[in-house]
Amino acid sequence: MLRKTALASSIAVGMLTLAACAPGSTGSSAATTSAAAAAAKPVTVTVWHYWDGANADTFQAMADQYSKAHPGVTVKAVNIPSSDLITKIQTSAKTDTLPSMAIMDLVSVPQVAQTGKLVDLKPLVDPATMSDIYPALLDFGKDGDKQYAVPVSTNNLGYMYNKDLYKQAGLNPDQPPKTWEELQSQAQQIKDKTGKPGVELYTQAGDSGEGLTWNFQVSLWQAGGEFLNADNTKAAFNTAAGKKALQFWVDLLNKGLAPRTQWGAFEKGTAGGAQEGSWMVGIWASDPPFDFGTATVPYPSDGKPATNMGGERAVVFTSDQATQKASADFLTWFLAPEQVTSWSEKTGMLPVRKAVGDSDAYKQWVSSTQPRLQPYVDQLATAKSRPNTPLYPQVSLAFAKQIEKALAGQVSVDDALKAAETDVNAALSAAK
Amino acid sequence: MSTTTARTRPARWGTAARHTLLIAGSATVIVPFVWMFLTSVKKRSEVFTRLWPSEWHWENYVHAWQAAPFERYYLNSIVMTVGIVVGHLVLDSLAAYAFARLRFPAKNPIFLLLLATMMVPQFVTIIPAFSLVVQLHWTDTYWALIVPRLADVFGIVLLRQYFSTIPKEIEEAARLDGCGRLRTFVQVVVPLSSASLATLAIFAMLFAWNDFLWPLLVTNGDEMRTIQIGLAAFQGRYATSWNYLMAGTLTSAIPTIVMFLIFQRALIRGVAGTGVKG
Repeated sequence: MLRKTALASSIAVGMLTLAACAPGSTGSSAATTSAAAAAAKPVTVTVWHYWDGANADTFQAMADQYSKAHPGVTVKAVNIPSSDLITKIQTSAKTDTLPSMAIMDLVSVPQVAQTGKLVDLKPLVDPATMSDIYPALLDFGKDGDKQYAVPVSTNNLGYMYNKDLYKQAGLNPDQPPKTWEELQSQAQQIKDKTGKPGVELYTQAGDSGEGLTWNFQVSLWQAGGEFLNADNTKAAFNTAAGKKALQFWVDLLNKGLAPRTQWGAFEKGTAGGAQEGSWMVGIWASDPPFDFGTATVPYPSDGKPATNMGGERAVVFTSDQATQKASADFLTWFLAPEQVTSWSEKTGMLPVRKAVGDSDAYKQWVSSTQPRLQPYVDQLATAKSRPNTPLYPQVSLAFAKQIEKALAGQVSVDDALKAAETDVNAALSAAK
Repeated sequence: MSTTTARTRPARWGTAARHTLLIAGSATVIVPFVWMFLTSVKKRSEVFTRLWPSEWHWENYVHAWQAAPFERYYLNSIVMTVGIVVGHLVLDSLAAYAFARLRFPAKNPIFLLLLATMMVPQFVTIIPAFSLVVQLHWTDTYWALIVPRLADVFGIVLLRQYFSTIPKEIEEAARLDGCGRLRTFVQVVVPLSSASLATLAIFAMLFAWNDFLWPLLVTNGDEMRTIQIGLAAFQGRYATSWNYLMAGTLTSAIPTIVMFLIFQRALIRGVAGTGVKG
């Protein structure tokens, strides 16, 4: 206990010096001073992450850059396939073989927090950095006064559409739908002129349910609804807003404006548009399957804009103090505006800090290099996060299993929401 | 044989029908491979939009190979697979021979106990096995990849079944000529059991080559990883690179395909044998 307070105070002093030279500085110089203080013994910070391709290469390069600039600290990045990252973390937690840090999907954080091996990052990461992060991004990993996870990368769902199909249907390819009403009428025109459905919805629960659930939450929030209640103990979607959102989907399907097939029609070029993540912009940009455009997600004319956020959170596992501190220092460096900018530009992920999202340099980069990202950047302010509960995977599946019946036309909207409410409440109370 | 002697109309129709059926059957096996190959030479944007690639991107194979240290993964997979296959052949056959021929106390209860372990789902044993490996400081070594999987009950049951079908008289003749137990086993029983040993070798190889979760758990870096873990990286969080995944999968499937072609006759005999005579 005593040692902990002593350390906390010494860190607090470190933070003060950090904060003192933070404004205007690049951040890397600030981290150097704190690292130099800790450089007594060489420290290896092992980071598990699930990134692949350009994301993995960029992260590796940044880890190398940090190691080179900070003698005594080596950051070792290890890729773990995304499907098994949580399994591996949970197995390692039981045998005390955890790495120093891990970077994971935000919805996994509450599950990993249950291992009881996460370090509170609030005293370890620069407060000025923390307060500059988009607030909704900090929801996951927050536990009362403690902060067990910080965002390192983010993305959200936007509306992507097939400009070729728009042209064929006689629609203006530069005027994507802004409202549900416009979406419906444009979809109808695409269907009439080309015979193809004008939009694609995620209609099947599949193994995890999450594809359907997180797409539907966007419509639910836009209609003014909520998914769970404030303390995540009960379903909150069986309301007028929930019915309105589900009815909107069911109508599109019943009119044949959206296909009842497995997700993927838009990507194959056989549907006019779909909710797609910002990451698709970067993946498709160099070799697009068709000419595509992006927009903010259309919302009901009497509703409000909203979207669902995804992305990665970093956590630090308990270990010796030197490693924990070195991990947090690396995290602070990674979240400095310079690094956030270069990560965002190289990977096409969205910046987690307002200082970067609002900066002229980043805006300039988007408009000149990747203009299709602009709607996603605009949505950062209205992006919402999914419920911060370790039971979310079960909740998501239970919800999707019932809603897909309404989407398949087997049960009514009211019945599906009622059944989903019962199942979600059961999933939430099962673990108590 | 009847078809060659009786060249009557119905017989020929019968042959035609049989061949149609067989061709249809082969097609269902081959078409996925053709699709895999075509996908592996497409560019990303054509994976779902075209059946036949507009341009042939052979460089996908180079790209897939260079996306990770695949030479190292390949080597690790081979070492691990050879280790596991040899272990299965030697240990399973020794145990199976004991259960088939030797008399020792509590033989049947022990065999039943072994059989019972087949009912235990693998996932239940993974964490205890993993913590053992950690305590032995075996993580990131070939020991961890091979030793816990050196023998398995399925192989013992398979071989025991086969060994008990070999006429005792043959072994007794050898014993009369002064052959010891071990020599009888090595020089008489093993050569007679080549079909079932080949079957076991193939099963063990497929299991080892395709195994994913265990190698992932016990390795923490590129040096000790196997091919399947490398391939999983193409199925990313945000998108699956189908073209690279298929190029990598085809490359990694070559050893198993070659093994299967070499051993297919023995495999069919071996599996059919256990079923009929059991």
